[in-house]
Amino acid sequence: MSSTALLDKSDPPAAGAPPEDRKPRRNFTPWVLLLPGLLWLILFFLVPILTSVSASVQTGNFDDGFKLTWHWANYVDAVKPYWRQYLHSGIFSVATTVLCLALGYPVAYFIAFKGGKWKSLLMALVIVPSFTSFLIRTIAWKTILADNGFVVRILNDLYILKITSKLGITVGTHVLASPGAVVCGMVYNFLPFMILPLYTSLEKIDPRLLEAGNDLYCGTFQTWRRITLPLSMPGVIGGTLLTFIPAIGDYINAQLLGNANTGVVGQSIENLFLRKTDGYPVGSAMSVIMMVGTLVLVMMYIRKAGTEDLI
Amino acid sequence: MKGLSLEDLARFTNRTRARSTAAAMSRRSLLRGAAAGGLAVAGAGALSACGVQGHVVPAGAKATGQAGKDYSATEKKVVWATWPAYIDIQDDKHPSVHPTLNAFTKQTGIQVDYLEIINDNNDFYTKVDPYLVKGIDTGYDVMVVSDYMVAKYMTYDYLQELDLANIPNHANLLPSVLKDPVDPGRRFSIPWAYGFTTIAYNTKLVKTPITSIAEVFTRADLHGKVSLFSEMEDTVAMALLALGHNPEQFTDQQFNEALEYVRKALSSGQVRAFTGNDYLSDFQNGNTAVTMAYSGDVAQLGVDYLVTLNLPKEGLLSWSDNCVIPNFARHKTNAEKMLNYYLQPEVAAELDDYIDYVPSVEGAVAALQKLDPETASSPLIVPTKQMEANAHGFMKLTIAQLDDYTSRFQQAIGQ
Repeated sequence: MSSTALLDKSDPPAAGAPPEDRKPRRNFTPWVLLLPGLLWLILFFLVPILTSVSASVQTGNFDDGFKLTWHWANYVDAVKPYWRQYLHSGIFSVATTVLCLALGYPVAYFIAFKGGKWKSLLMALVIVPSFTSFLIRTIAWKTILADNGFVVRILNDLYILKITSKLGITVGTHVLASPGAVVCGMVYNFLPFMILPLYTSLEKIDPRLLEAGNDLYCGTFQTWRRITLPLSMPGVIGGTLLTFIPAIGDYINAQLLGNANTGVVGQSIENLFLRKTDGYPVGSAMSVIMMVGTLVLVMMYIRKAGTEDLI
Repeated sequence: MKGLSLEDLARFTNRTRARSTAAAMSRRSLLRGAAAGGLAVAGAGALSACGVQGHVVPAGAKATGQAGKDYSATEKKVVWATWPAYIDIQDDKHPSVHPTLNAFTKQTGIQVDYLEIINDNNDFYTKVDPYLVKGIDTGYDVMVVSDYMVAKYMTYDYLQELDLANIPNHANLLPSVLKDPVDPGRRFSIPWAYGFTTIAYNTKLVKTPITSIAEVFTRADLHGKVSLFSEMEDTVAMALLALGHNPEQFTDQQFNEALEYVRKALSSGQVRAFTGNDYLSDFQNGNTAVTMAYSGDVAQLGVDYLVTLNLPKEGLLSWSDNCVIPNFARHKTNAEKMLNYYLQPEVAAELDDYIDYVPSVEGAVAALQKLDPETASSPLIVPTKQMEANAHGFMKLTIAQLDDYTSRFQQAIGQ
């Protein structure tokens, strides 16, 4: 930033010269090249968002039609009865992001620095499960964590479920149909989105920098904290965003692995959308709240983390 | 019955171990579920609503119980929207071959587009309502909907009166069936299946037998192992029975009590989940020990330690799913011919033998006894007098009440 500003100041003639030399003629090529992308964005991004925002202040139902009445009270109806769902969405997505980071960082670190010739294979192993449908993978957990399956039996024998149930992570002597199961499912599903950007940024680090750290009497931990971590921050931020944003909107894990006390916003929107003839306005209001809320959170996070790489 | 195709798919994976018929059904659900599930995930659930092909009716037509032009004579077909696994199949290897339907086509030359696209009454209603309200053909000639929904469709004049000249077998309907509170005389709806909602439990996990509905909501040893239905009518009616109220005749106050009863069972952790059509998968895997169940479903699994309570102390619920013809159906006469076909005792017996529901046609029980004495001996298919006396329907609600109760119930169960 500062360097370009400096350039601008020091070389005004260089920057201003070309327009004088050339006749200012219109060049349409960039616009033509941009056109497909712009059309796509307008049609599949801008229009739906505007429709959604507009629907959120309408009133009506299928039978009488929906009219734009600027009925802002929809937003009250979209929050008041559903505050629990917002809370769940928030807690689950934050917990998922934190756990993904805690699990993903060591994995990415190991593959990047110790992977050697196995690097590509190991990364493939991270990605390959995503070749199966998201739904199928989530449903598979229902079988793995079944009440009379061996996983749950072992957890019970070790009294682990007693502790987690006291903490409110699981319910009773089972894992399925609990907040814990929902977060486990989400962590499993989103982990590759954390590992990939982390790996990319860790892999780029010049090992000579680490050697230099050692030469300068930094311990392993110090080297990591002062060299590796700062250099991998773009990966950390990219990974957390790639995990958090889909996680906060995800409702499949809550639907399949949760119970009636783990409802998230997506489930309520789906219900309003599919099973109510007058559900569009409130459902749209909920979507708008989620979009704006996520955007604000993400902006704050990026500000705080301060990476120019991303914006 | 919520959650559309996700649950379909869920049912598939968990039910693959089911025996015979159940396995066949699951395979069918897979194909459908996978396709539809993909859509749902892409956030394009709405697209499925566009699968309806509308034929624009002449201008000036209104959505008030009107017939469109009947193309039955020139187009030898019927389009039939119904629920998964609600008809006979030839065998596991040919799950999409339905002998009764084929026989009908052979007799009459009428092709049947048999579409298993309904997973949830309310879900389906929101799909067809935009067409019906505009006075446009929904693309379906016959739809199978639950009793309380028939009332809703009828209130809005969305259904066509049946032409009994095309349905001489209408006379076969049992007198008790004709005495329907929603559609007296059955001029708009023909029952497809009658059934009960009761309790089923796993004797491996539940040592003391369950005899009443109240035990399900309160017994400490069932804590966290109970699953209830996510459709308001079913679960609220159960709660009303447990509290000693009559689901056919209750007050607002009693509804509130019942809702509170359900909410308490949920917040205390007694209830593990509210499920739709997929309740059997968790029950069969032993994840739930007690569940609300539709009559023949559990018996159909053929697992001896999963037992159904024929008659809980407080009574049981009865319901029906019905065939109706929506306004402007393109092949009304063909549809009526088909309904007429299924009202023959022998055909009804063949069907009920397969889907395990209560016959509603005179002579079907006798035909069933001849066809399959074992099925006919099950009280959930041929109920005893005592069961009939203690079976309750659900009170007829106004649209406003229905909507209010449904949304309050859905909020209570975390939707």
